[in-house]
Amino acid sequence: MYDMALADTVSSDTREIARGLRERDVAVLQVLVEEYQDRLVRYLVYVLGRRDGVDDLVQETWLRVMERGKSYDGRSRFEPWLFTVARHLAIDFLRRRREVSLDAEDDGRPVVMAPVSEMPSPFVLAARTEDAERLAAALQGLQAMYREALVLRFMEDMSLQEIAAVANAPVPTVAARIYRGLATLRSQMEEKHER
Amino acid sequence: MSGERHEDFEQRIDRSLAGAGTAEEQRLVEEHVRSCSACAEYLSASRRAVAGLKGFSFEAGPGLNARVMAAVKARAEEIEARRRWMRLSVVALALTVLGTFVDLQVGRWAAAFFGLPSVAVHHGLLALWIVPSFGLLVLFPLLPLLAAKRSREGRTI
Repeated sequence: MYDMALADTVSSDTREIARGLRERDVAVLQVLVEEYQDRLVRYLVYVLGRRDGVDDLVQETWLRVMERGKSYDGRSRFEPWLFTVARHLAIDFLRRRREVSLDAEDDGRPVVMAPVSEMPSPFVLAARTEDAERLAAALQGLQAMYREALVLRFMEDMSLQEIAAVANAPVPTVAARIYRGLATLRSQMEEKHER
Repeated sequence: MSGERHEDFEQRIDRSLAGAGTAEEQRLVEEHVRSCSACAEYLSASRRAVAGLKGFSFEAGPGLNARVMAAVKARAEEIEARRRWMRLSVVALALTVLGTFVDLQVGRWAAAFFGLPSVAVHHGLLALWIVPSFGLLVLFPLLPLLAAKRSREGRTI
């Protein structure tokens, strides 16, 4: 049963989250699942550029959170730690399918841009307006690492340092990814404005 | 105004949106865009792009939370059961070591005290203490593995 009082405590206190994870407290995990599930889904959709497979990765992420919860010390926000766990699983998922690399730019390996899925783009499916359709096309064309930087900065409101910790990349690299991602999206908005 | 200066302010706008700009840079940008339509449009397009991003909505599918929690509870029980068997294994190990110690150090003395043959005491300790606790020491770590295997087979069926 969902405990409202516990939910209030957990959402306002990272130490309470750390305690719950350390003790593998299922009630605390339930609160976390309820609170972060949609954001976790959104992050993984942006990273993978697809909707299929995301639910399985979400489940794997929470199982990993429960198993390795002791490594969260509660001294920083929970979100970056959660997304770091999800990111590692997403990288494994992409490697298994030999699709895009999240770190290609940094390690010098070539970027493999295989067709990520035969399903329609999740961004196109979620677009409700003409502007959104244009942005959806731009997002689908962006590499995963740029979409990741954008979602963490503008949807999760993370600082550059937090994004750098999640993406395991230097702060200037992360900033450059945001600039480039933003430039791609902006060009869509400017094109429309010029028409 | 020169293109170079526009470029400079566009970079400041990017830095500001990315969270890399300083408060002073932010103030300069705000002041500048009031009098520069090109940079004002750049900022406006950037803000529209960010706002557009927020228009996409992705939510967990129906039943996902319940499925996740069922998996989390099952895994938590599995881990707890494994820990319980590990604790019992430690107890079995301690009993085995203690039994061996008693056999080697105290057995002969006990046999003399009770007037029993030392071989009989040795065999008694082996049969009633050391071998059973060693058996448990081997068995306990295997039980959770067998249970997990059976559970996996059950899921496959």
